[in-house]
Amino acid sequence: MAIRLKGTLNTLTGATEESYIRIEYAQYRPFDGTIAYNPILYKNTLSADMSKIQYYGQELPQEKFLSPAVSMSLESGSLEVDVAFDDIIILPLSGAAQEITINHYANTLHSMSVEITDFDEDGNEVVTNDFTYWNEYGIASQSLETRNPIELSRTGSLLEQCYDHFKGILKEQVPVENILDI
Amino acid sequence: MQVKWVYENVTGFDSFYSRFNLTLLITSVCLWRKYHPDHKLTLYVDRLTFVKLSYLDIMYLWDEVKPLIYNEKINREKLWAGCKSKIVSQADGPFVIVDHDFLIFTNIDKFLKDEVLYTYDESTEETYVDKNETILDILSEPIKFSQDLAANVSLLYLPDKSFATEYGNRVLKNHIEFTQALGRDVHSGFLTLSEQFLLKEMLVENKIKHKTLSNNIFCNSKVKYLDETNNIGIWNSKEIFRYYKHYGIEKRNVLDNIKGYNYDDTVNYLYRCINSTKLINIDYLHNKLINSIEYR
Repeated sequence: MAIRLKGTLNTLTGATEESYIRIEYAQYRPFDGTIAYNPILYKNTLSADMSKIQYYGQELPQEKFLSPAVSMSLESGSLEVDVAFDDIIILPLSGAAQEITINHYANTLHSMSVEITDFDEDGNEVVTNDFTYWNEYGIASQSLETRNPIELSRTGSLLEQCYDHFKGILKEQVPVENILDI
Repeated sequence: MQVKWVYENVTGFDSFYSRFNLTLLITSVCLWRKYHPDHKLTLYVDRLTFVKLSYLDIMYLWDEVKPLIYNEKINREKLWAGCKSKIVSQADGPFVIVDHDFLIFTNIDKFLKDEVLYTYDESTEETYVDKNETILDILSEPIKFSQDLAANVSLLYLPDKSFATEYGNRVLKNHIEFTQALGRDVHSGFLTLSEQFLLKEMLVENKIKHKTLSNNIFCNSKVKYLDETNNIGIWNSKEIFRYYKHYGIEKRNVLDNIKGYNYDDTVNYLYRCINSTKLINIDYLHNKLINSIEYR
């Protein structure tokens, strides 16, 4: 699974018509409701193959033949556009907007009425009501808001979702017919 | 019954003395005497504190005032309760040792028999040194962490002098070793571990029968009694507020007047407690405190 940009891609390491963009890892991050992935640009399939191991236990390649994904331009027919993408891209796991109850957490002061021993002016023991106080971190208030809830239970391939997301980023820069699945 | 208070100026500075803390000390001893007129009350103080308290004309509230002789090389400012452990280690019979911020509102003679008694069990998460801290390896007699509660010793009754000596000496030894290893970096978390957690450990390990005043376990981080009980407590969650008060970490809240606490109201309450014992004229005491103690 990889992406090729149809046309001549000018990179810092030279021009290529065989660009090969592979997502090298995708990290599912439930703690912040995202997937992080990193697309890496190679000048061709051979460079991409030489930059990874083929089987377990194989020694890592001495060199990785990647090209920096900056200062690029794509030429295809009359098309000439600049292309760039980040090394690490964050895919938010956001679901459809809906009205949800938001909890606002804070340190809140709680109190409870208790009976304590007190004394009157003559020194006689009297039982009076007092309050005991304590702090607790918890739900301080709630509000109803329209939000995109985090959808941690997405099914399907993480990698496919990352490629779809990445193609969306590329589509903002180059025509869709220039983005090829390979 | 011998009842002891230990009060040491651990900083050596006059700013150590505050009217609030001294009022608590006076309230503590006055209420104890009110409800336990037959007990023999002793105060242990360092030289500076002896002079300071003499100005207040309050020494007669105790049956005897003894000098605190305590020369161990311990970071006293951080391990400030080491002086108590010193007195515990010198036990010559059954005794109660009471903190200056512990107030009693009933007679507890019937509970001072063969079993160890202390104020309450407290949870150790968040506020105690973690058992996995590597610094704990320096202790020549390591703590085993066989259970997870600590014994709050704002009131501590030890009926067996040999156990008291063993416990007091072990706490002092821990304090010395923590001070040697950490110097200025030692903090009060090591004090509570060494003094309060260790006591509970020793009681459980040695199967020594013990009771607590409160049946409810106290949570330091929330400053509240939990619904969870230890089943060795004497009083339930309603009774504890009637029969004793341990100010503990609430003292800071009172001094800072944070929401729910009021310094003036608290001092007036303490004055009513002292006044009820008819042991000291409250106006006289108030004037003495105002004129002799700079810090509130």
